[in-house]
This record gives sequence, C-alpha cells and structure tokens, in this order.
Amino acid sequence: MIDLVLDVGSLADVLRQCFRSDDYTRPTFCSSRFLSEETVRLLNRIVLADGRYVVAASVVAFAELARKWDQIVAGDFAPYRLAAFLQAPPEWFSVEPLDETLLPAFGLVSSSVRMSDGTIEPIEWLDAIHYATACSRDQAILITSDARLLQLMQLAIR
Amino acid sequence: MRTRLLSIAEVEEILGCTEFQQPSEDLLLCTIVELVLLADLAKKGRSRLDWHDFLRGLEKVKSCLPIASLDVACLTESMFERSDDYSVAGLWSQLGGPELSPDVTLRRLILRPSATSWWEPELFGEVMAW
Repeated sequence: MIDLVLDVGSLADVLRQCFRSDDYTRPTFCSSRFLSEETVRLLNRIVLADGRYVVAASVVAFAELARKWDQIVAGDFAPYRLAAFLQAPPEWFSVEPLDETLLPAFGLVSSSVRMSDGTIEPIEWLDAIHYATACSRDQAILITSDARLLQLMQLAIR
Repeated sequence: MRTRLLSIAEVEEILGCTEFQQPSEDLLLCTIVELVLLADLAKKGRSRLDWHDFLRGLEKVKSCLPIASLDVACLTESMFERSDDYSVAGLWSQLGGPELSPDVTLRRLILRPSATSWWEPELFGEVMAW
C-alpha cells in the first residue's frame, strides 16, 4: 500500500464521487476522466483500510479548484459541500499545507523534463508543488494526467 | 509600527544578505508564495541566488522573518463567503478567477483578514492592488 497525492483534476473527480455517495466518508470510487482503474483500486483499498495510508492533496489543489470553479466543478457540487469536507475531512484524507517545510522537496523537483519525443518541457511551480507534496511523504504517488509530471515520474522510476 | 509585505525582489535581497534584522519602524512579513516563486527562480537559474544560497538564506532568516503560510484552517476560513450565521453562502468573491494567475489567488487566501490574522486589514487592501 502507498499514499496517493491528488492534483487538481483527480481531486475534483474524488470530491465529485464523494459527494454523490450516501456517506462521503465511505465512498466506493469508480473510474472516471482523471481516475484510472488502477487508481480506483488503490483509492478503494485506502478507504477500506485501517487509516495507515491516506489520500492527500495540497491546499494549492483546493485553491486551484476554487479559482477555476466553473471550468472544473461545472455545477457538480456546491461550495458548502466543499466547505464541509474541508472542515471535517474523512479520516483517510489529508489536506497538506503550503509552508516552508515543503521547500526542500520542492527543490528536488526537476525544473524541466525531457519528453519521449525528445523535447524539453518546463515544470511549472504549481505542478512542482503537487509533485513535491508527493515526494515529501514516505511513500506516495501523484495521481495526475499532466504529461510532464507523468514523464517525470516515469524517469524517477527508471 | 505597521506590517509591510515583502515583494519577491525584497525577499531575494534579504536571503542574499549575510545578516538580517527587522527594521524598527515596520514589521516585515513574507508569504510562502514569494518563497515558492523565488525557490522556482533559484532552481531555474533565474535568480542571483542558487538553490543552496536560497536554502542557506532561508535558514538564516526564518527565526526573525514571519512567513504567512496556507493550511487547511486558513483555507477553510478564507475560501468561502459566509452569512451572518456563519453558514457558507458561496465562494469568496475576492478569490479571483482563471483570468488571474494562481499566485494572486494564493496570496489573497493567505492574507484575507480574519479573527486569527495578526496583521492589519489594510495589508490585504495593499495586496489586492499588486
């Protein structure tokens, strides 16, 4: 088992499914635009487990969700649902702060990545925060659909 | 004495100095956003500080330079517009939308005046003009 760290897209899908569930603290996830079958399997295991592993997202992911509310949330849930979630997150969910303790991990995130076609793409600071949030945990993977971050993770595994 | 928010250039200057002391007339405050943006510039070789200078400088000043950060409590307090009975009426109108850059939204969330913020409410007015 391993912790999962969500970027904005995967966070929106997790919240969407939580709020559709009868009990948002015990949802059963299914695959969606930003959640693959494999991610869903890991998510459901964490929800059912004993609390040793968590699903996490940086406060920055929540701030981005709010900044692009109409584009990302598109009326799927109301702000008061999000407020309630933040006020009392499920025990398997952790909202990670943005403070100076993240900076050492932020420094470890490469500033650019070589894509499979040989082009060099920059890693923007916002994306680096999500990656650093994953790196700052003992064992975690970032759930993202961003091609640059996926490539970065791929290269880190090799 | 009033609280004054530091710009990225000022934070870079302070972290690059051999010594730092708070001035007697103002209390200097830095947000985590400026530190992240400066860290990103340092990593990318676009600052006069390299990454190690940045970390050394940060270590040196962090006991005397307050850093305003964003945690779940601050986020929950700042992100929503609330009615008189404290129920959530919607997203906070000053958050800014996709037309603003993400650092602006983060700075606003961090500095929104609240019952727990210790800086003057005018500071938020200043950051709105940035």
